[in-house]
Amino acid sequence: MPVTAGEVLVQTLNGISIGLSLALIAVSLTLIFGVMDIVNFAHGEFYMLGAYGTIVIIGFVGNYWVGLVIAAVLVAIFGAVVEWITLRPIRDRDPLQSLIVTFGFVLVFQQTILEIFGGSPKNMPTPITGTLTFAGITYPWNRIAAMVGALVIIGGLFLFLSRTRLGIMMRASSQDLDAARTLGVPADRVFSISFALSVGLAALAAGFLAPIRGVSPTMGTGVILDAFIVVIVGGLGSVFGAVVAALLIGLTQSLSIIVLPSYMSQIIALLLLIIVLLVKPEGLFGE
Amino acid sequence: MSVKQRISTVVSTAEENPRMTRYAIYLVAFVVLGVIVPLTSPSSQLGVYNLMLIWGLFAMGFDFMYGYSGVVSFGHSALFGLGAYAFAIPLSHAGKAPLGIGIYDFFAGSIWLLLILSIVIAAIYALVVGTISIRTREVYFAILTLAFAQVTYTLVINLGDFTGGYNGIPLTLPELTVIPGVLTLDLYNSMDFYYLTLVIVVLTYAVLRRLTNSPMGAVLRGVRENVDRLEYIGIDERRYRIAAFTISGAVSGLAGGLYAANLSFIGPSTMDFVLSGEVIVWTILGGAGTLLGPLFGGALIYYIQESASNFITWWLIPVGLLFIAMVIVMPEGIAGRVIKFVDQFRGNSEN
Amino acid sequence: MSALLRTDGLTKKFGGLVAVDDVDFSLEKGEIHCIIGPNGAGKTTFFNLLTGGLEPTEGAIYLGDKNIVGDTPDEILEDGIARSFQVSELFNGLTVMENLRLALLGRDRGRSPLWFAFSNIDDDEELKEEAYAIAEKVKLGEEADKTVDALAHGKKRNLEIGIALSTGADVLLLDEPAAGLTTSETEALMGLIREIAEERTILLVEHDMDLVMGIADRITVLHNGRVLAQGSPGEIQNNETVKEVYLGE
Repeated sequence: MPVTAGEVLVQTLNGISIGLSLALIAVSLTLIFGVMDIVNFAHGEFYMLGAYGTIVIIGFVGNYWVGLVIAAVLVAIFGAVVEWITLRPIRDRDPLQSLIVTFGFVLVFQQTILEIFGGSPKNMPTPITGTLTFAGITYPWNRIAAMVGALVIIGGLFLFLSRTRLGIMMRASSQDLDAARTLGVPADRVFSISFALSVGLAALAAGFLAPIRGVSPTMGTGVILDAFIVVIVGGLGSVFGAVVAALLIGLTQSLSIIVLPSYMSQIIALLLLIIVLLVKPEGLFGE
Repeated sequence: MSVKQRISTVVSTAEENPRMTRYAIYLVAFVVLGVIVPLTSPSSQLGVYNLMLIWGLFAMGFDFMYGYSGVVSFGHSALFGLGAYAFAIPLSHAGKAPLGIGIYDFFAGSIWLLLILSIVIAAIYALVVGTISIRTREVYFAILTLAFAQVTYTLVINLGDFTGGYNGIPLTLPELTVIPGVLTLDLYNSMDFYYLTLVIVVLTYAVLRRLTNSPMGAVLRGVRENVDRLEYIGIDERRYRIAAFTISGAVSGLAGGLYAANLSFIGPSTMDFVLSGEVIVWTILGGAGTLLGPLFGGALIYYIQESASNFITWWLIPVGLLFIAMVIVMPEGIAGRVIKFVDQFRGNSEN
Repeated sequence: MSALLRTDGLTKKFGGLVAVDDVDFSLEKGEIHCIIGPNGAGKTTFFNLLTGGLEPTEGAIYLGDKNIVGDTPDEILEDGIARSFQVSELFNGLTVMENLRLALLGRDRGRSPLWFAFSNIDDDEELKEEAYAIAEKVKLGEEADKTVDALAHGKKRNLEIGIALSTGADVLLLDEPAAGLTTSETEALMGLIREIAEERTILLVEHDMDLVMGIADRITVLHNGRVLAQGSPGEIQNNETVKEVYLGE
């Protein structure tokens, strides 16, 4: 079956929308590593909590966006508490230890949500329905909104990191923690806020990605491996690298679906990861 | 004498006669595990013990890598699952001869050969994945093992003609010939299976213990304590990390093969990511770096899981919380704590 | 030429920054040679180049007749250069004896895990005795069965040198061995280095001028990555350029 231009356009757009949503999750993941030297295996679980939280809160407030924002804020606060109790004590240890501890979170969060909500997939109410027709294709508004929303948030994050005092402190801590400390950066507070901000962003990402990918207790693990691949390919700690890598992977996966069976897309992502690691182990933009 | 003094005396006598102590422990273990348990337990109970042994074996294999060399893998489910599939595929394809070679029937006739296949296939996978991933930092290595495991899982599910896909395949097991003409075991019988598994676990423990006490074991501990320095004292640490991963993989594959035999069924649940996580939990709760700790950890937690799941569905939550607490507060695990506890008495007896 | 180790136009650039600049250097067999220079003079980079931790941008490093540029640290070790670290890199959970024994294993068999996987390492009495002997040599005889965590900082620095010694290399590169030591500990260290130097060639980087002047056979002064002066302690002390740039501090 010949490939039409329309198909390619649709898949390119899909690739961009998935890529940007993935970027939102990956960027917050890489931020935690850059600032705190912690690899958060449970990052996908905070994404999941954002989705379930949004569904629950929409039930109270009625509005999708309000529900999403409140859920994200609650997740952020929860994240700060978790960081204080469990991550602070292991801060000086090997990042591998953080990988193991946060893996424990995956178990606990997933099982808790499973108990409360049951295992069957839920429907995430779509904020915007309808489609846009242009250039010979019909494309859902949903996904366009996801792209725009993700772009806005990522752009906001870049501005935050380069212009605000807190953002600059976070960047300084990620470059050289001891130097930052001597310059008066309050490490404890910066860490807590960084972690809260990051998991809050992951929860926010659910607002854009969950309507497309679905909601279930295991949705977190479905997303975390892709997020890790993005972060590693882009370079651990590099926000810009995460965005580039996310788009790269999103596009590669979506376009490959045109010619390959869908289960190959994950294999392609893995191949990309292997190639990058063999050629440039620090990632495309890593130190 | 107070209780504490009595314990001190026992411990110091044990210390002074290490050989005698060891033989005494072996004798007790042999009598209890080899005679009392199998002959007094009903067959359904033995079935539980069999699975306890299998999971314990899996955890022990993981501990050899994690507890001694510090290498972390989040993809051990692939090793276990490949062992299971390696065992199952010749059986499920018996009678077929690709390219005219009766390779399936060659293996399908003998349980021994099938188990060896389990070990070899898992070891080859570990060797390949390890070699590809070894250039990366430890955190990336762990994530790569996860990525490879996911891909393997996806492939197994999607190549249904070969692997049975989502639904899996029931297996028909041949008899196990121990001594031709004299002793055969029927693996559908819980007691026969128990003896087979017990012997395998004991032998594996002996081999792994030998390895950890060897110069290789010393180097693996060096990898765990300061991998960067090793290069500067003339040791190629990459080879050792790959070796630890491969040996661990071989044992995991063996456990997988036994699992397939036990269930006489193969399905993709043997490769589920959940297993990768569980084996880490068992190892850390049991006590990494002790071999026996994770053996008991795996067995015990499985047993608790089996019992508890009759009453509650959320037992994994307290286990998960305990796991988190352990990593933060008691990284040496239960076995490590026990060792520290015994050490107290050593100190006292010297006074 | 009797030079055991020598560099020829050795240069290392990091982007626009020249850390090591066209250094010609030679190390004589059996001597104690010290490299000194202000912070940022390129001393540690020079060490990293010699031990294979970094690759030079230009130039060659000759060990005997062999150019070792491009070799990995364990290959260079096999050829006979071992190093110690400014910040101790020890095997923390292990005892002193076990630390040294590990280095001895590296010396004897090292690269392949396949050869010696089945013997019990504690049964190797010879190996153990050798490890204990080296512990004695670096003044850790009494602490030989203590774990690294239980050692005082000064003792850790001794172990650091002990590990380098155990590799069996002829040339020892010691990176600020006196880092963090008290005056009396430094005195003891000087004695230890002199003892070791009876059988090895030693190149060391140091800040402590008393130590340097006390034990060096020859001194090389680095400044901004270039060799400022080279010679005996007396010559260096009287060198005007050196005094201007460095010794005044």
